[in-house]
Amino acid sequence: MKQRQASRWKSQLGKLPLQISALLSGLIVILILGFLIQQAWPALSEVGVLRLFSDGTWNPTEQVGGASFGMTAMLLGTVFVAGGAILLAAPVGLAIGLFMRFYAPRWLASPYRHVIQLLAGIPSVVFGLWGAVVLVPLIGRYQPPGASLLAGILILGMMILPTVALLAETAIASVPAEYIRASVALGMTRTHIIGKVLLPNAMPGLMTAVVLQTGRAIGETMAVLMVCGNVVQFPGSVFDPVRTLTANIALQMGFALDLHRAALFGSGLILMSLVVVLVWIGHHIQAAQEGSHG
Amino acid sequence: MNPITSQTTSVSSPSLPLTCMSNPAACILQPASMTVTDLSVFYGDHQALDKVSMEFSAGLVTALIGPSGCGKTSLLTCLNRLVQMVPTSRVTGQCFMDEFDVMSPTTDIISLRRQVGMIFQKPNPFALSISRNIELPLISQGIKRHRRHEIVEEVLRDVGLWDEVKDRLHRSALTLSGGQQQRLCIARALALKPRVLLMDEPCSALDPIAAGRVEELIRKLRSCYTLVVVTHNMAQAQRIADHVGVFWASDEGRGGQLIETGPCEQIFEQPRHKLTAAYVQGRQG
Repeated sequence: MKQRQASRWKSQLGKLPLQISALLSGLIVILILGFLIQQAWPALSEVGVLRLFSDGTWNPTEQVGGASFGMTAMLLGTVFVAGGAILLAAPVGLAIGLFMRFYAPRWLASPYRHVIQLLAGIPSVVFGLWGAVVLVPLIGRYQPPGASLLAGILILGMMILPTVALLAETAIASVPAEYIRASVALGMTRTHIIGKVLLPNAMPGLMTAVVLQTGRAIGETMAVLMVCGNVVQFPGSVFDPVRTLTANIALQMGFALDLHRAALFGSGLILMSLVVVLVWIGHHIQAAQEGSHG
Repeated sequence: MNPITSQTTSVSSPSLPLTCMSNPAACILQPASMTVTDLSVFYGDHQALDKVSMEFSAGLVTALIGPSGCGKTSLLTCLNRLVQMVPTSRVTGQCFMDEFDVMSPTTDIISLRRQVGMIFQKPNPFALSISRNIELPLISQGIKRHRRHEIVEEVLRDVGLWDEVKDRLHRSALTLSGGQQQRLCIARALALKPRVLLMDEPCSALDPIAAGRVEELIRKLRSCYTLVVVTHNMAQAQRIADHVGVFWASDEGRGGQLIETGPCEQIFEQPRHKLTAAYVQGRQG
């Protein structure tokens, strides 16, 4: 009896660190959210949530004629840069994943995977530096000024590409081998096996990759700041400079006071809501996928 | 009805029965015979099969028996060249389907695999609907939707699954029981009108009743298809097989060898090899 109690104690003791870790990570999310709301509160209550979107421009320090807090242009900047990057990285990343899994010769597949892993480890500021020094002047030669939405999309696309590719490969590899064997034995062509058996079964994993990396693209600051030009405006074309919400926070946090500072926290709140919506959409797509399969 | 006339009528009729289980004389498919000569299989340095020569007669059931790990499945996967999915595999020797050289590098393996179907030990339907499972390989073959729907019904009737699933064709195949899943896999293979069906222990993952139904199906498929069945069940081999090949692992580590082959009765009643005698009586293996 005593022994049993002792072993129960031991198992409880083993559970405790796990429970604490789980609790902590959940708590951090709640704390950050609470902190953001608290810091943004002056702007939310005095300026109002509506004006954050309806004000025509972002000019929070203007004394004459009143300050304006419009973030729509920057919100769109964020959505365009991140959306463009994922539209670029998703198909190419999928192609790389398929190549690594099915088309690469054996001697190439493993070193190639290491190169992709290395690419995923390059710090974002290095991407930004390269973008500012090489890519921006290159674009500027065709369509000045060069620092633009396009530069941001290309740099971000390159940054998330390796992770998309690695996650895509994992998703593809998780498709049961028996499905592949069955379809090969049924004389299906390679294109059909990939299109009709492999990709539908890998879809939940692929969607997760897309959602996670879109979230990362939305949150990325440094590289975007260095290549996008940071003009607060609705871009008329991909060659126009844009400013993203993240870049705006990084640019102004140093000198922002009072309402201006609170408004920056407000934009942080918007970014966070964007990611929440994204995760929610991803979750629902995945659930719908599983529903139609199972 | 005269079998010859019945054959001609069915050929000209527009909705042709795919198989001929209800009326063997109306069989429009030509089962093919397969022959292997000096066939050896290697996986890297490991030899799995050693110089096997045998014939699988058209329209008959050949059972491959023997203890585990003596190359029966390797032999099976040579007949549809599925063996080359293992990157390190190497096959020497010859394999013919009628006059058609299976091992030739110029062989269209997609077409080969449509003619030589395969059923696996564990039922492996796709995580799709019942009808979609059968349609998918047909889509790959470019068969139109209307014809596909006809084929789905035909093959499900052929495997005796139609009445059980006709009201839930669009439900996931994974909701079926193991035995139903295996019959669905057989239906899926039949839909391609194969000439040879390879079965790798098709009943071993099933309960006795489901296994009995699959076995009954194998007996019905005989004469329309050439069947090659790997089995560990002696009683089953005796019930279904016309010919039997007995495999045994060689002592020198050169993989499995064919130690005896012959008509079913001979193998079970008058085996010539002493290992065969011991194995079929359950004294060894």
